[in-house]
Amino acid sequence: MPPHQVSDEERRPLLTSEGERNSYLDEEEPEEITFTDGDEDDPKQWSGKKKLMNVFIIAFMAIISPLASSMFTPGISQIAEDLHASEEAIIATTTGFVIALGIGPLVLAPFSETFGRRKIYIISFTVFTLLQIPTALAPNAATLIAVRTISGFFGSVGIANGGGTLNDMYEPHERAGIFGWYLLGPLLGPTIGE
Amino acid sequence: MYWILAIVCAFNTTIGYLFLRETYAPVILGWKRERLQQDNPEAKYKFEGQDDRPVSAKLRQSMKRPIVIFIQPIVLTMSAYQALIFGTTYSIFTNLQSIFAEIPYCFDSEQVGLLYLCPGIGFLLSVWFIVPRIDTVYNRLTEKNNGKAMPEYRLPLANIGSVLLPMSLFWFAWTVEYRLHWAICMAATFFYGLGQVVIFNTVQNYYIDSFSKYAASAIAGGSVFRSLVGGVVPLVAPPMFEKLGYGWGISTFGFLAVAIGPAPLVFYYYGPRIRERFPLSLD
Repeated sequence: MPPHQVSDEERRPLLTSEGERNSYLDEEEPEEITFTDGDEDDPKQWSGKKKLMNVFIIAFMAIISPLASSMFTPGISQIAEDLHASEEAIIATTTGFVIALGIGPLVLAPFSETFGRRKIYIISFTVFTLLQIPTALAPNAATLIAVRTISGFFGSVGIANGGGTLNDMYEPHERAGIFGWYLLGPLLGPTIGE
Repeated sequence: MYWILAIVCAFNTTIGYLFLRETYAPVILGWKRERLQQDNPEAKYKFEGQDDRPVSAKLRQSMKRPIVIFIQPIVLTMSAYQALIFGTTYSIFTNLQSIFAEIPYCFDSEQVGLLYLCPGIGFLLSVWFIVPRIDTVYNRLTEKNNGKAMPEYRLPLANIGSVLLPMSLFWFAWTVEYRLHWAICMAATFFYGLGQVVIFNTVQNYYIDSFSKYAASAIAGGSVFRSLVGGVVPLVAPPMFEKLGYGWGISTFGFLAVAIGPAPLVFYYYGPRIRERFPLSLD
């Protein structure tokens, strides 16, 4: 579990009486923590708006990365000329990106099941964003291939964990409908960019 | 172009930082436990899905998860199906330019761009009207089974895709081969889009229902194969089209789609038995 910051004022003095404490010690079975009815903490009980906010952010992540791979297909010959590289080399950057987009989830999905979704989303997408800068400034094809491949890895986070996140928030009987809209991202991304 | 992308991404990262909330139940319960623990240091708490192993052990275990799930026969087959679909889609999309920019069509690149609307509209209508029915079918079958849900109840609608995909592929292949009117050719891609979305959605939901807590890992296992094939096939497709012509070239994808088409039907009936024969331990 991720370490939770313990601030000093949160640390309550031990006010419990001796007897109360003993009663806890007597209990061998640990107390089970679950989500209760009306529990604000339970993502399945969030308001529709709150769930949708999460869905939108993730769907955006999921659509932007494949889009980033295809939006540059029309400019291939231009980029090749700018970098004095063959068109094949530039196509290879897209191939590298797409493959990394596929391998990323292999790492990022299990990570989200250990560290939690939010951390993985934020860290990965921050890196993806920052990597757009060296991509824009790449002096030659080799750099472009390397940077794009790495950015594909981190860009895959929306695709990797979206299904998991939706499953966290929605009951199975209502999931497919909303899931379909989210899945348009990974599906349409490659098409729109052309 | 990359700068626009960078700005849009930065914006979304900020929004995510501010508004994206944790949704993974074991993590939230873990936090809750720590809060309670602070209030009652002497008490013992546990929660469902609690895992007290050190992080390194947990990671080692969890990194295996997508692979372990992927080699399940059902996941393997359905991922192959998706890989075939993605390979086909990318191959056709990347060749629209070379098909329609030439005689007799002579479209400019903007017109070619507009052609993508045909499969795009197929995608949209599918998500709008067919995909929500996946829930309807699932709920009805669950009800019939005395309220006991099965992952296989996601699959019936996939059969629509199994019919639409090969049909639209042969249609597209031969209308393009004989250079018929562009609208006749592109109408096929509309049905292709419908079919692709239905299969994609039924399969993804099937994975999630089968591996609930580890849904993300299951989807990841499937997506690797899909992306690899989706990335490589378009590279080998153009030489194949050159050699066989678009008719037989695209029909090759059609034949593959026919071959794998019955998979959802087979798993609908035999899925539970296959899952029993290949049990999984993922924790």
